[in-house]
Amino acid sequence: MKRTIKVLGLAAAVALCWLYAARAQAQSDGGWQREATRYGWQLDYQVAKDLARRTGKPLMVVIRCIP
Amino acid sequence: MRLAQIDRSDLNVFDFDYDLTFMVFFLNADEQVYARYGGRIAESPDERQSLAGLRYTMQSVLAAHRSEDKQFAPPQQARPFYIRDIAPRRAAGGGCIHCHQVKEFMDNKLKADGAWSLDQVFRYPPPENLGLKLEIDRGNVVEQVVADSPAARVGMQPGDVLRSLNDVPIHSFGDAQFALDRAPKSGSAPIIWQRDEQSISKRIELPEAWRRSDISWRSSVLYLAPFARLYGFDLTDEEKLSLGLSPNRLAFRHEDRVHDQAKAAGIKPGDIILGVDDRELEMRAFDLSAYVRCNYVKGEVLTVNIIRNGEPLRMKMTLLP
Repeated sequence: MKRTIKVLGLAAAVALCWLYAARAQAQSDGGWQREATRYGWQLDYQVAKDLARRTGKPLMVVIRCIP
Repeated sequence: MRLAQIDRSDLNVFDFDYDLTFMVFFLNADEQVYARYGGRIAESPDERQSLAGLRYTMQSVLAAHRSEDKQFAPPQQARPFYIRDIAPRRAAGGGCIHCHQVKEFMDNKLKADGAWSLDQVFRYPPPENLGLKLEIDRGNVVEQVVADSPAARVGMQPGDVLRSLNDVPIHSFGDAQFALDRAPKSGSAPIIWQRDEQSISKRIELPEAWRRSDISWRSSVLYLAPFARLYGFDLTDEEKLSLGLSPNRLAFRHEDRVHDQAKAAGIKPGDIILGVDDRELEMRAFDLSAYVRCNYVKGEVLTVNIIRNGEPLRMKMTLLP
């Protein structure tokens, strides 16, 4: 009985950690996007190209691994 | 705009040194590329970048964009190219593809096609390989020209503005690396620079092995980085002079423990190591490992120049990873 409780407890702890990590990751992924758009960065290449065509301006495209 | 997923990008447009983690492209709405900003050398990931340098490139691109005679970096091929064309998504574990993995997938494809060669290792050579150092804050302005280098022999001087290299317009250090990546492994390449109001057009020499540079920072080819595995302590200036060597010359006495790789070459404890491949190297014992990593790859055979009991010997050593 004790062993079952221990296993269940461990499983619950692992599940909670996984949920917490997944939530933190989702917040982090959305975070940089929100921050980028706040300063006028486009995140959709097609939208940026259309904007460049409409305004006659060149595009500056930054490629960067997400930290 | 910011591109965060290289696997969805046309690599014929976004063609760059995929071992980098940061690169900026300047292009028009028709996806014609004016310039690139980025690039690095082995010593530091950001030594060749500055905010002033980025601003300078942006201004240079705006001037090119307004110009009647627009110059673009030529693409490698006429049609789009995506990483999914050569590597299924599951090959990268199903998740995000890192830029260096793009290079690995490309190399794997070349290997599968029997088209891979050592030239694929030494990609995006810096202009320093031709004796040309560009300013950091003004990426197409020559800061320094190394004496007796290809750049010096073609007549370049500090203050010159590099306009075109190997038919690629140059606005930045990143452009110069891109231009040199497309240059042949030997021969020459067209170069145009501006001095005051004068435009000078010549061909710069590309000597044998000019592309080679330190690959130790490149994730995509780390498996090819070799180790010299020669260890010891520098001779004193007096000891060097007694052997007829200048104090700056590499000369060290091998320590008692000899690695199997060196042992297989015939190196013994106490041997005096003078260099490799008959080159007179000016460095310390500690620097030899980096020198070998910069100039050789796994599997190559080099000659170790040694002195044993006062006699000069040449030992062949196969480099292992």
